[in-house]
Amino acid sequence: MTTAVDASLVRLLDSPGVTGVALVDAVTGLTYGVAGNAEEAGDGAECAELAALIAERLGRAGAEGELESVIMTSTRRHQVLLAVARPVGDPLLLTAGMDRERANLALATRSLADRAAEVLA
Amino acid sequence: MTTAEARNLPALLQGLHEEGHSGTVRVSGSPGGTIHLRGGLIVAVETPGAPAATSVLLTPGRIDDETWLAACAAEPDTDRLGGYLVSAGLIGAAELEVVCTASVFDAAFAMAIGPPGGWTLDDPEPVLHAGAGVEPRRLTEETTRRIVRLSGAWGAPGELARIRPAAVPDAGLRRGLPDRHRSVLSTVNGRRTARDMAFTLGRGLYAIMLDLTRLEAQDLIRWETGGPAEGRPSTAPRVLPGRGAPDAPASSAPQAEPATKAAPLPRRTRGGGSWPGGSRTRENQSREGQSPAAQVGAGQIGAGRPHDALVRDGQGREDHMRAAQVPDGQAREGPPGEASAEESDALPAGTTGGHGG
Repeated sequence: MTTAVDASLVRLLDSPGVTGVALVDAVTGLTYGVAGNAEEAGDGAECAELAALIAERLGRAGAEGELESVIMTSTRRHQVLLAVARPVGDPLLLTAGMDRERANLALATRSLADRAAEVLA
Repeated sequence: MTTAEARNLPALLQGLHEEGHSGTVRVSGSPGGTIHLRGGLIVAVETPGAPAATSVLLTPGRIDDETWLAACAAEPDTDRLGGYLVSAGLIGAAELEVVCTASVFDAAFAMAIGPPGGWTLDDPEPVLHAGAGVEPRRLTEETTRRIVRLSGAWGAPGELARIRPAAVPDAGLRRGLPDRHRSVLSTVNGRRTARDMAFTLGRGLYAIMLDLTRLEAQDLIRWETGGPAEGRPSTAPRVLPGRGAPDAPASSAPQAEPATKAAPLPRRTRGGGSWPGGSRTRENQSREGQSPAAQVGAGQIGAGRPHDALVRDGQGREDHMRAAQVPDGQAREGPPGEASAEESDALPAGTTGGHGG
């Protein structure tokens, strides 16, 4: 049965090169939904731990403000973690795997960020 | 496998999943709770140990109380309330699903860190839910992961749940803290447990406990070093005044057995090694050849009865206060070792036993 979260995520696969997306709880690491290749989207708990660690270290180094995104690049792929703000409640993470051959990182990230808020609609 | 033979809760839920059962499983114990199934999938779990989806929506003001009451009046069937909230534009379908799913996992975690009880099966009851529901195996695996994640120097998550952390001075002035951690810091006051904070903020218990461990790692909050063992009674043999004390060394010569018989009841102790006098007494017991269990127990802290015989050195006042603040369902007494065994036999046990079919 397709859930509302899955249905929202499927739309994000339209961006060229995006192979898998998942909506993850940024605190608990619980995965609420996946579209496309779940492995490419990344494990929810690991992504949440990584984002929390980076946010903590940035804060300790004096950075102000909330973490917005984490972008990792390998020779073949991009892995993007985008913070999704909520009106109230714990923040969410949109995790996306991208094929480096096909994706324009800047465009795809921008597109994901623009549509991240729609995921919860 | 029939549900009547299920050896634990995960096995029961897996059996009900295979039958495509719709109904309610009432779990006794501390905190206990109610598990709602539809078509074999878990759609909602309610427990006094963690805020329900309704609290998560109402406490932080995602939906205000008047609107909520109006919605409940317009759609009296709680089972269909979620659909109404979405169609009325009060919340997005995906967001409601996120809240409801998070609540299922959080409540399961809250139930799993307490000692398990028995269960009874009932007919379906209306409950707020959204989405397809959760498969029991996924719930069990995630609960196990959470319990492992929150096991640390303080012991099992059940120990962490009893801790009442206090903020270090000027913790709120630290730069670079996310808003979420600031809000947790604002509720940390040395009297609240993680559960209290979860209800105060309308957030999940597991999320709060995770944030507390992160804040503690950053030295923004602290809890007493003796705190983790709090709530467990000592199993140290009772030592009557004058016996086993430093001024009675002669009685230790003929081994400990007669002394143990002469001292039938264990005495509750508190504060671990923090009392000079208390630790001295325990050292003497060890030297006298008491059982290893007694030595392990001697390091534990008692259940903190106000009328405890061993109130001394001003620690007693603190004990008294702490004992008075232990909320229902939080206090748990049992010998060391038993509790952890119970915990491991809670939800996580089903990873191996729950899907026998």
